[in-house]
Amino acid sequence: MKKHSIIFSFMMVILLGFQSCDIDEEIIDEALGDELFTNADALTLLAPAYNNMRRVYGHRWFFALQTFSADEGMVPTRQSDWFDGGTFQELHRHDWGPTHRYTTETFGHITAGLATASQAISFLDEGTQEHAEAVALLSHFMWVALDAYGQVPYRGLTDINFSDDPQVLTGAEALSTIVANLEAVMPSLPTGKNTVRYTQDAAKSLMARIYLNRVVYEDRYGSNYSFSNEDMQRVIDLTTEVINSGSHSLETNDYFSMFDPDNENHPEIIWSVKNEKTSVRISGRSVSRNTTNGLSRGLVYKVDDGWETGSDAGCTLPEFLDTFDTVNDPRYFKENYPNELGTIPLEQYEINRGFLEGQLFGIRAIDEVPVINEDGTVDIVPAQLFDRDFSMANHTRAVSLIAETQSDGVRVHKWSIENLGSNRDDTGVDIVVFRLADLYLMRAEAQLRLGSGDALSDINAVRIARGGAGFAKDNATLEDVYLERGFEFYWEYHRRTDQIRFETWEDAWLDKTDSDPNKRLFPIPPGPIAQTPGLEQNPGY
Amino acid sequence: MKLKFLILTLVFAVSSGSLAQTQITGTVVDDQNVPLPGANVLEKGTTNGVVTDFDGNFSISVSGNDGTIIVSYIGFETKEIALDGSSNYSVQLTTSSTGLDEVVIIGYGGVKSKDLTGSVKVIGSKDFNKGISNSPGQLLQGKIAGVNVTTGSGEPGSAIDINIRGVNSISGSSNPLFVVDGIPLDGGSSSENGLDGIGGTSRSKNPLNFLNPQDIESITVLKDASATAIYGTRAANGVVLIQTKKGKIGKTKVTFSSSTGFAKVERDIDLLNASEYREQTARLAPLVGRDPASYIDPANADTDWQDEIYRSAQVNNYNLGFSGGAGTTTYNISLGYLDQEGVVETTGHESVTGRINVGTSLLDDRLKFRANLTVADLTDESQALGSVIIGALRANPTAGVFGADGEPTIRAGATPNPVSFFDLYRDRAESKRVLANFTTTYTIIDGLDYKLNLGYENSDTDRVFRIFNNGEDIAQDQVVLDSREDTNLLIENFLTYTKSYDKWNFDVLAGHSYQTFNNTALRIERFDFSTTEIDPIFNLGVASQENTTVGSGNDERKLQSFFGRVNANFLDKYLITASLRADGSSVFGDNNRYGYFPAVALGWKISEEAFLADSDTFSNLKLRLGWGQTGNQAVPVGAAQPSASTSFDDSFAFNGTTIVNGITTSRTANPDLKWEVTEQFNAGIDWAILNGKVNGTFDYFHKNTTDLFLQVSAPVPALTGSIFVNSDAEIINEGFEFALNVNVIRTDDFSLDFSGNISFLDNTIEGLATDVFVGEISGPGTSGETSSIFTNGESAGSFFLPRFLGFDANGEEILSDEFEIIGDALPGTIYGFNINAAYKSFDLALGFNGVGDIDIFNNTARAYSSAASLGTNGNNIFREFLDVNENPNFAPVSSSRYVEDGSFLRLNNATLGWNVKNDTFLDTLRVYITGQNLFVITDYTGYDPEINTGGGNVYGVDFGGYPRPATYLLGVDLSF
Repeated sequence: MKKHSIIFSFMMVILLGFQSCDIDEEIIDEALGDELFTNADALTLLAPAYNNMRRVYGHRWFFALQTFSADEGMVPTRQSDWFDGGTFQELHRHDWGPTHRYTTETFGHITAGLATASQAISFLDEGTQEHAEAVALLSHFMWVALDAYGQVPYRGLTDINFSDDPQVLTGAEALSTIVANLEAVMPSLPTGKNTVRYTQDAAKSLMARIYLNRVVYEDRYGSNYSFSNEDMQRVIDLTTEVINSGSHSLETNDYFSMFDPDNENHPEIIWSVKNEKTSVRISGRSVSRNTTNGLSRGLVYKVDDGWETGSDAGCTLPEFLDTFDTVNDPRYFKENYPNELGTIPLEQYEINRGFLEGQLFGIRAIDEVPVINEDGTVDIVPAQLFDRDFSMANHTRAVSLIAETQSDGVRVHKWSIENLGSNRDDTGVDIVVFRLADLYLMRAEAQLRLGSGDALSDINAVRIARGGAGFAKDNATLEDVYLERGFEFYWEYHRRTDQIRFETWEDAWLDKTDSDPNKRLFPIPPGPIAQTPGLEQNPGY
Repeated sequence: MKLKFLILTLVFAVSSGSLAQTQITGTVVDDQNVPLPGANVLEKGTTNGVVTDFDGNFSISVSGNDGTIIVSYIGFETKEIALDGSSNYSVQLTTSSTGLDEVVIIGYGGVKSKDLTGSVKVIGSKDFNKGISNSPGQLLQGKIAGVNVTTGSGEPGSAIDINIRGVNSISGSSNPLFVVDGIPLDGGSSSENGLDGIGGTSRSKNPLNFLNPQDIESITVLKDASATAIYGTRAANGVVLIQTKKGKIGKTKVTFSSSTGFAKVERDIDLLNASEYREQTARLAPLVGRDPASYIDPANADTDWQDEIYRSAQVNNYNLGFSGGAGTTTYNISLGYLDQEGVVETTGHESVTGRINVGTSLLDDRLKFRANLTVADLTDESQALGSVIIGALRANPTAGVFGADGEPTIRAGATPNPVSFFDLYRDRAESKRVLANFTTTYTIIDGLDYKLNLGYENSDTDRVFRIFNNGEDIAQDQVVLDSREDTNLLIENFLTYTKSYDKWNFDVLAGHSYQTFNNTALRIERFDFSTTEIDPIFNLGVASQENTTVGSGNDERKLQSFFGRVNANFLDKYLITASLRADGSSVFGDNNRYGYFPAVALGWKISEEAFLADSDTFSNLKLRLGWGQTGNQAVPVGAAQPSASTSFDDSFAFNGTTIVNGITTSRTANPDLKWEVTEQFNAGIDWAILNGKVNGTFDYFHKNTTDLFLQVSAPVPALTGSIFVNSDAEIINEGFEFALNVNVIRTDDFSLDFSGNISFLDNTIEGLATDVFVGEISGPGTSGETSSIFTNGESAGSFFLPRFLGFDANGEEILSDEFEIIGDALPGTIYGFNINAAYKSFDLALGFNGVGDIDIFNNTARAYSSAASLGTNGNNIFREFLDVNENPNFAPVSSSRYVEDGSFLRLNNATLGWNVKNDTFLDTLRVYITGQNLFVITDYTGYDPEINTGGGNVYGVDFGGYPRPATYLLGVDLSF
């Protein structure tokens, strides 16, 4: 029995020896971040904020919200394609609800942008250029939130704590906070030309845009807006500063070069969201999709290791096209090769730009692979879809939201798809956010609304740059500004904002009859509302 | 001193055979005088034992004429026979068909069946489903009330969902905890990530495939919380305890079994044949503005694509083992080999399993050791199943399979030629498994045992995917190695004490457990092969270095537990069980390190009361009441802590093409994160009448799961889109379970038994702040659509879609304006019944199972079976979905049109056996034929209504599910 006791005691020691086993969680393959943040290089803190701008400006995100809900673009359902749960039809008909996929995702990217910019602000030293850039990027995300959703969740510029409840800014308060923050960091922002980084001119452009739309932001559901002289004068002052800075000049030769892969530091661009083929992909939402998704399946385009075809999604609307001077306006179409039967050297094959209307001609191809003649030329033949309904790529103006064929509707090849990587999301085209023409047209509009100043010469500055002296107008009204903005900025992330400001948003157009002013704002997704105190659903949802 | 004694004991044991011996013989029969082969006959107080032969005869040498022999047989009351000097004994055993004296394993010990207080069901090996099984789940299908076993697909070794009393979780799966010989398993499996752009990578294989069903002695399912709470935070979905076979004292028994057979798809999907396809496309052509000739492939063939991808698949299974025991040592050693082809060409499952189980005792039985070692090597060959199966369903039937060069053509209409994938694509997973445990039991004083349980589990899986470019739509060679290793170490110490005081019997348990889990992962992805002479699967080096990506990870979890239980009974009539477990897990937040899981249960053996003791009606009547709390700790590792890294995902090109990686915060910490709590109440009655000939159970349960894990939006602006929280939502499962066993006839030559079970289950969600949408719909024009929802007042994963109301005059679908709940992905009724008959040396077993009140979302049809898909793209169509009123110019909409009734009745299993009498050295020789899945009665238009290609928290979705074949087997079992 004694022996038993000894053995028993020994075993109890083993037993008790394990009573204090460690169960602290030790994460061995991920950094918790302490060291990372304190020793961080300024650019590694800024990179997420800049990169989030690429997401916000992604194809099915801010682009879809600004374009496919407006009168300049639509994604019709084409037979069994592009229904996608009705998302695109809802955007077009102004029939979206709180769980709409792209309003939800865009809100997510905006708030992620707000957070990454706030994170950068909290670790960067005040007074540095990078800190000022982070504040400017925060302001830009705040503007997108204000413009599209009317509510801006905000964590301030100091003592940022992500566990605390945020403030939710709306209307005047949001607007004044954005402007005050931009003014506070203005001296630290870089001057001069740099389309990659947020400069003083970019900040001024944003402020001008905000003042121009101020009356809308402060009275979301109003009508017969009266624009205050004070605001218009600010727009004029700010745009004049940028126009006169001498850092930028209007493109006078090739309008489409502003949307080419090498558009970085283009003379006319003030700030753009930079893309490189080496940039991280944003899951099929790259700016190249603005074009490739609408391109015909009957056309091939070159990518780094082969050929791709379009997917016949988006097109523009007949009424919108009807406003164009299709013959004289170089912004309507640019020919790279004649759209007719013929033979051209392969190197010369570069898809025509602008609006692709009527029967398209493209490289003769079999099973989506071009046939290259022995002498290195290719035959240009009428394009026909390689699959689906095998329709001829004849892009008629006539189209409806439920399109009869894959080819209905005029396509928009504004954003270049030349020189894409092996993945068609890989592009070097920077997404233009502010360019000089916008500053001229904002100033023209402000002058007209103010009732003083030479609006005509501002409009003509743009028109002459595009089409030469003969393209100038004789007089200018607000209506002319509105139309000119359509010619100049189609598919360029402006249209919805412009339509609301010019009060055409509730008009009827093709397969769109809704006139509910609540649709000026997109719904806040239910997930964030449920978890974020202060965030409320917008009226009408 | 002790050592001498030990040696003496050993010497005595070994030499006992040479002492004075008396030979006795006898026959063991059952209560109907039917001989019982395989009954154990043991000389009491020794380890000297034999087993009866086929005719129930035994012969044993005993040491003297005044001893006692013990005769036992599973399912019968054990009997002790005092020797009276005669040399021949006839022993009649009485059935305990209710198994009331059988010891049921309940976790950290056992309890006699008659003393159970919880809802517990044991299935012994003789009641398992017969035929080829890849995992324990299949052995149980249809056998236990309230247990729904759904095989993910008909692919050999496919994942299995086992839901015990419904679905308890929103964010994860509801599979139970598996405990094999006392070791809670980690349940790791290979990764699910296949190759980009290749459709329909199959779900991970079943992690329990490494257990050879032949090695399993019994499976115990703990259903209610009073039984499962002893497993604390891992018990909310129920617990399945698996006991493997052990050796018995006596002569060495050698067993060999072999079966061979084939599997076939007996239920093709009804598609248009080539001539119907020509007719229908000709009808639609003018409507979509296509030339009718454009649908007809230049081959103008007449191809049945389903015939081209399916085959009659061979299966061969061999098992060899020997077991026995001498002295105080028993052993059971086995080796199994299964080679199972899949019915889809090139797919299959091969496994080699080996097992050793050895037990011994020392110091007068005071010190016992038992060791188990299981090793397995599993090889799975899968395919690009989405492309192959869905491809065959939509391929143009006028296209040919092979081109003029004899090679498969690249396309078959709008889809790649499904047959071409057999060469182009390969998905091979090789998995090595080890499960080892070592238990030491020391009896400190009589009734007080100390037990040390050490366990080790390792699973090492390498899955390699490869695709060759075909010069056209598959533009690039690609190979991916996905490697995972999961290790789990367990150390458990516990004490049990059994004591009787007067009218009380006590059984007390107290223990401590510490288990660590380590998971490593490695993924290598490479492109462009320099040669195709060898398969890059075996040498990733033949791929180009360019664009290679490598990633790896390693995470750890630790779980420490303290547990205790008291079983008491008073007067052998009144039973009480109380248990408590404290679980501390590393995955919980700092503020919630330990969860406490109590349970209590009461039992009343009414039939032992005086007023029923003499009852002719009830031979057993017991009332059980139980309550308890259990948990679910399926929190992803690290979810309670933040994470940040410098990553390409948040990079930006500030200068030229140079990328600056950004600092990403990839997780928002939640230090309050804890387990989900499932509170369950159970009331049950066990009853037996007519001397046990008819018996059954009835259970009612109510389960309420709270503090559900949810990944919700983080309060914006947040650095991560979502955060893990314990939400206020709850899931309620409520149901009834009935089980019935009837010995209908039992005569000398003929017996007939019936057993059946049925359960009714109602699942409801309450308190969700926002609806959770799951189940991304696949197919063209469906991006962002989901089929299923978790929403208040409805059952988990209900189908939420517009209702389809027919076609308007234009041929456009008429749909309800709003989305509606249009179907239930979880069965409201689950049932199974078994018929066993024996006539002389022949026996027949039939096993049926089915579910009712359930729906399936037929995603395959949604994707490709519409007039638009046929008319525009030339995809073939399910005949069921061909409607001449449908206008091909309108896109099909995901709607109730594709939600089908998923109820079914299946003849899961039928076996006809012949126990061959023989005079050879063989003790037993059995020949049998088995059919699996012989028929299924259902209205479902897909291959099989028992399907779930979704996985995780998605139920009842079929997208190109692998058909479940019928399997026909011929087998032989022998032993000597």
